[in-house]
Amino acid sequence: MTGPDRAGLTRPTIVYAITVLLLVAAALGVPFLRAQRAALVLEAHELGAIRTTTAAAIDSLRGVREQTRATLTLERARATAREEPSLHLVIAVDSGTMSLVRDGITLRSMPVRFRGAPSRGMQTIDKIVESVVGAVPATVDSLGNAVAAAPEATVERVMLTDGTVIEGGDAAAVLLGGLEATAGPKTVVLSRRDFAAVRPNLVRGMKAVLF
Amino acid sequence: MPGEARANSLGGVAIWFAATLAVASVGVVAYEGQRTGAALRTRNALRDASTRERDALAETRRSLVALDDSVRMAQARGRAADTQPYVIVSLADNRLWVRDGGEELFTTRVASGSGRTLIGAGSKQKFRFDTPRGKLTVKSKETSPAWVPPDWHFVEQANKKKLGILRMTRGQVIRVSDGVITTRGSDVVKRHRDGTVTPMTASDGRELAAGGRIIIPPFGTNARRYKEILGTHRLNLGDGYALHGTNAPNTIGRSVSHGCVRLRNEDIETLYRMIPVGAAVYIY
Repeated sequence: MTGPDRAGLTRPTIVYAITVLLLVAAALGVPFLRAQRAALVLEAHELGAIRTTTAAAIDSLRGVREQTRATLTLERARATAREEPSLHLVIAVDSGTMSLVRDGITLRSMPVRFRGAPSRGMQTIDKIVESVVGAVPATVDSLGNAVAAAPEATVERVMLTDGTVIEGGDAAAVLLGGLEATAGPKTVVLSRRDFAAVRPNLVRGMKAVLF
Repeated sequence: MPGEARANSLGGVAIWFAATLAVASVGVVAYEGQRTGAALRTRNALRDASTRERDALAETRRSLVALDDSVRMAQARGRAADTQPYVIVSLADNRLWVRDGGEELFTTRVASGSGRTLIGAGSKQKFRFDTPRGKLTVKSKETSPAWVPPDWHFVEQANKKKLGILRMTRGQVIRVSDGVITTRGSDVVKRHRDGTVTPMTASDGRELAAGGRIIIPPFGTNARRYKEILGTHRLNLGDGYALHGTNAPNTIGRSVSHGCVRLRNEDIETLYRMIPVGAAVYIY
């Protein structure tokens, strides 16, 4: 086994040579691979941090987008109300006001109070009904005028297509504004004086925009 | 030959040792390579995911910008472009406002239609004194306007005085005890038996009468033009309706008119100056 091979080299020499080559390759390659891996791990960490930031930014933007969508719905409803050339009602649920509007001009703006949260969107007046109510207590309207007590009275109520009712009520309670959580139909209550002022203008089929 | 054998034996061990080292170094390199490969795959996966998320972020930003544009467009929609002042009249409050855009320029109390119904003789004629609700337009403006009373005025006076009604036409001759009443040019005249002719004048409450009937003079005659009833100025709204002054300022603030909107003379003068022809008048 110690005899010369075809190239004149002994087998141990070849083995040693290969071993040396491999050792050199390992000595050079392993640090290189480790450095590469360290760089990759570092890059992966950076990418992870970027992903976290990106995910947070996307979440934030999605939240803003949802808010903007809600704003857009609101603004579109407002624009529809402004563009409507015929006489119509605009009920702003958040600010608690009802307006009589034509050609984008607010003819009368009135404070209102809600019983039950009214649905937002476009409605039309479905019907105007009369009903007898019990005694009406003496009160003072929004302009400070005394409203005499009545033992029994017939009141008119305006019904929208979604069942929301618009009616006159106690002015002092209306001025408090806000939303009462009660059972029964959703109701928009304005002062009796305001109701009397706008009622002759309300007809079946008239639009009412709630936003 | 034990020395040669030991040499052979040492050489063999060295070769085995070298071979083992070679295998070990290959193993270490392979191990490190595998770990680095795994790190590379992880990095690549993260980079792909990060790229997708960056695209998603960009897309979300784009959609947000588009939404913002839509909001701005919606906010701009339906905004009144004209700056012409307009008038609002509340019949329930008997109040008038002049506004320009959202700004209130002027407000005052007014008198509006009484809502009464007048029934003429024989119940054939019915007049309802309502101020029309809706959008009207200022058609023309006048100073020192004369009132051309409509038929209902004569019916109302006839009812009040318990007299009949006689509708006169141009050229018609109405015989009375001391002559005849007829028209000449733009006058209603009385031609006396002696041939003299005198123009007849009428005013609110002092209408022409003959034979127990109140005469409704033809349109266009001076007998059907009453002065100083409508105050100093008038803004005509068409169909006989108008915003005008009054000679009865104590009626302001009440629903007493025959359908026109009455203002105090100083207020109608202000309105005359502020409101151009063509301005909208919203009555509700």
